[in-house]
Parts: sequence; structure tokens; C-alpha cells
Amino acid sequence: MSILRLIHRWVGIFLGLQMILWMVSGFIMSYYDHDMVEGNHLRKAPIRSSLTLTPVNDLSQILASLPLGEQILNISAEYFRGQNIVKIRTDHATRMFDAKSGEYINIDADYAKTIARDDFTGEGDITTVSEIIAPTLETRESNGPGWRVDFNNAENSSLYLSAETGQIWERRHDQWRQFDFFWMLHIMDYQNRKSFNNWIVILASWISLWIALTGFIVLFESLSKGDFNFIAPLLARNKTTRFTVKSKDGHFNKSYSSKGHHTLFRVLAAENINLPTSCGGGGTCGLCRVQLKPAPKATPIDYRKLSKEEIREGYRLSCQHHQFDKSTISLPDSLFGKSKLSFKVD
Amino acid sequence: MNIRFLIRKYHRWLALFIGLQALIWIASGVYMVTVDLDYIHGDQLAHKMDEPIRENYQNLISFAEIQQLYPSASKIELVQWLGAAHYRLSDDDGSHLIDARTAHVISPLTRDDALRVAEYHFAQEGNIINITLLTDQKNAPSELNGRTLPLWQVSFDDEIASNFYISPDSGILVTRRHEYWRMFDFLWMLHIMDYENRTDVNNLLLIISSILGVILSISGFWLLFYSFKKSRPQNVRRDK
Repeated sequence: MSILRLIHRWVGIFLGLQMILWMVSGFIMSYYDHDMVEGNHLRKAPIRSSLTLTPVNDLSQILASLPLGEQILNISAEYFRGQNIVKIRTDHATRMFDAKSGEYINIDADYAKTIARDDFTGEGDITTVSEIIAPTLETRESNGPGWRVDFNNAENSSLYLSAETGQIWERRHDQWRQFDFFWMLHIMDYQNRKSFNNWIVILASWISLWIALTGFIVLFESLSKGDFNFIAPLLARNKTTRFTVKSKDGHFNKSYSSKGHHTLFRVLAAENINLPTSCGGGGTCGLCRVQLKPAPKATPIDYRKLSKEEIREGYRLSCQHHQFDKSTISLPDSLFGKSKLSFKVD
Repeated sequence: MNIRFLIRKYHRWLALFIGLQALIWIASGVYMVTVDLDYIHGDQLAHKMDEPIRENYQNLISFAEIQQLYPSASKIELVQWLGAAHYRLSDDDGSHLIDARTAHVISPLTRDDALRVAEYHFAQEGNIINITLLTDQKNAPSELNGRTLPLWQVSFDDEIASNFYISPDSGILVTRRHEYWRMFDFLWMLHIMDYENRTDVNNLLLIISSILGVILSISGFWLLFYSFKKSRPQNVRRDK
């Protein structure tokens, strides 16, 4: 086999597998409830506070405490867990201060635990609290320092929150982890699971598009061939066709009659004459050839698998032609030479 | 009849039913992976989105003063807006935008204000051809994905028919849309088969179709494998 054929074959196998993976992962992702995957079921409804803000004192003192060289992008006066705070976001970090005292609010491991406990509605207790310095696979949408708080519930929940603002980043659990695995398979970004603009998936999808389009051409050939024709089989339901089967050397010669509208391959199979096939009647292996008299019009698939000379001699693929009356079907002698094959002759 | 014959037959029928959708999945997938997502989001269309506050806080109206003016405010922000410091606050009446130097209330934005915001942030070549204040939630453009109105819609005459959407209350450039985004959104709809809201990935049609897709792809793969088998075994000679 030439190297090109080999490559073609293996690319076909890989893409065929990827096609299955796309379908399976697509199914899983549509089957898993999106809200559940996002962990919204773990979340306690936030308490709406109707407090009014107490005046911010001495913001300039807070501002003076910021490191030099940081550019302020946003200053806000708001609530955080019932506390009046001032939040300052710079190009380097976000910091929170008590609005009254101006004191820096440090979200340490203990505080992170309290925040997570208050947000969590599931069962189970906190097992570990660990620091997040760089984004992990489970916190890839968030930047900055954070805390991971693990619970020992059945779903193995992990809450992630910002160490700067105390905001819950993510509510992860086993179903999300499964979902994320399938997401990875779907977008083929095996490292970060984030970008679906990677070259592997671009290449794979373009080749798949080509395969799908050629698949459609095959499908339409099937359509024109009448595989999806409901009327012809219905009309021919009770119609009897008579045909003769003989071996090339004339040693075997027998007449049959059959009702209906089937391919010759099927008709012969019903008479216990099993022609060789490896594709199962798809017209791709070219094994089920027979010589027909009179010879029907050759199909494009016949032309693909048989030589012009053979076609002129009346060779056709038996899976591509339907039974017709007063036909003679010649089979290769080799079929009769094998002792395994026996024909029922009454 | 052997198993391959059955699979062949079955695959063909399944392909007829689900094949078109499979083609749509692949074609829409090709578009979504090939066109850069940041471009789809319109990152290249807007700039100067998150600028630092240049003015010295001492020279601005203080938080305490704003709080006196708006005692019911539940959140007050000091931000840079159109190159100058502004307060953005939310109270029972919604969002307000206030000049931090003069306490002048900017919101709700006038047509001229919206034009200035759009021109300030637009990072591409092109002129504004239309400015409309959208207020009718029922007839909101579908490209807003259900965002709350009112919003100023500012349209540009650039090649990709960009639209900016600006909140008249907060002065924020809420979102931007262009032809590639619209195409992405349309293909996303076809991809997840939620033809109504384009958001629900858990719809029954998609679940059923994807199950059929799994069967289609597995049976197709099976057939592919058989096609690879040797085309002409020895026991069938070509009769000369």
C-alpha cells in the first residue's frame, strides 16, 4: 500500500473516532442540566440588604496607603457581607477597606471558610482550604489570588473565591468535572480546555466537513438509486420475477422465481446463494459482482468498481441492481468450486 | 442477511434523518472554531474601555458629598468616563451618571452624549449612520439577547455593520455587535437547535438528535472499518 493510502486510512480512522467523540460529548453536554453543571444548586440565595450606605470617611487616607505606581481604575462604596466598604481596583490588584475605619479587609483562610460556608447549601463539611496563586483548570475564568474550599459532600464540591474581593468565583463539583472532560473532548483543547480556536480542532473540523459533504453525495446516490423509494417496493410487492442462475461453465443452471422488489444480492441470499461481500451491500468493496443478461444500465458505482470491459460483458454489482424478470445471472465458477457452498436443488 | 448489511441499511436511513443536522453541526462548528472568538466579541471594535482615573481625588466632589445628595444609593462608583472622572451610582430609581467635578447629572444620556460615547470608544474606520433610543422591550433587536432596555443603538457604516449599544442611565458601552457576531449567533442557534432563544442547550430536540448522532457516527465508523478490508480476496478471480 502506498504511503498516501496509509495516511488517508489513518486520518480517516482518527477523524471517524473524533466524529464519535463529538457526538458523544455533544450528547452528554446537552443531557447534563446546565444550571446544575454551573453549580447553581449549591448556591444559597443571596440576602438582599436594604441598608443605606454610611458615609465614607477619609478616603484620601486610604488612597495614600496604596503602593506607588499603581493606577486606580475604579473606586466604589458598597456592601460586603453587611459591612460598608470601599473597594479600590487598580491595574495591579483590588483591595477592600472598611468604609468607617479605613482598615484593610484581609480575606484569610478562616474568612474564606466563613464566606464559603455561608454560600453553600449542600450537605457536608469543609475539609480543606487551600490557596490559589495561579489559575487552575477549575478557576481558569478568574485571575488574581484566591481560595479553594473543599466540602466532603457526595458531589465533592469545591468553592472558589477571590482572596481580594471575597466574591465566589466558581462552584465546582463532580458533574461539572465530568462535563468539563467532555467539553475538552469537544473543543480538542486538551491542555487548557479553554480556547476552541486551536489549530487541532480547526483542522479536524475542516476535514470532517469534507467527509460529511462527500457522505452526502453518497447519500444522494443512494436516493437516486431508489433505496429510499417507498412506492416501487409497494407496487412490486406481489409481482413475481423469474430468473435463471447459472455458473460460468454452465455446470449449474437453475430457474427461480421471487416476489417483491429487492436487490439481486438480497434475492440471491434468500435463495441461499451467498455472494462474497465485505462492505455489506454499500457498493464499496466490489465483491458481489455477477454477470447479467440482459444487462441493466450500469450505475456510477458499477463504473467505480468494474472495468469498462467487464461492464460491456454485463458484469454488475448485485447490491446495486434490483431483481427483474427473465434475467439470467451468471456467477463465477469459483463460487461453485468451494465445497462449503451448497445450493439447495430440489 | 449479515450484520454488515443491516448496519449499512440502517446507517443510510439514519443518515437521511440526522445527516442534514450532522452536516449543520460540522459546518457551524467549522465557522465557530475558525473565526477568532475575541474578534467575534468585537474586541477590535472598541478601545479606551477601562481607563485609569487621572484627576486627583482631592479636586473632585467626595464620596461623602455624593452620599448626601443621594442618600438611598446602595452602590457608588468613581470611574473614568469619556476621559474624565464620574460617579456612577445605583439607587431605587436605577443608575445615574454624575460628573465628579461639577456634580452635574449626565444621565439619562442625550443623543449627543450617546454619539460622543460611541465616537470615543470606536476603534475602527467608519462613520455613524444612525442613532436610535430603543425603549420597546418587546421589539428589541434579537442581537441584544434579551438585555434590558432602554439602550442607545449607534450604527456604523463600516464593512461589518457594527452596532454599539450604550446605556442612557450608566453611560456604559454595554455591548457591540457586527456581521461576524450575527453569523456566529445564527450558527450557534443551528448548532444547539434552540431556534427560539438560542440559549438553551438542554432542549429535547438537541438531546434526541445527539443520541441519533451518536448512533450514526458509530455505525458509520463501523462501515468505514469494513471498507478498509481487502477489496479483492483470492477466492474471487477476475474471469478473463
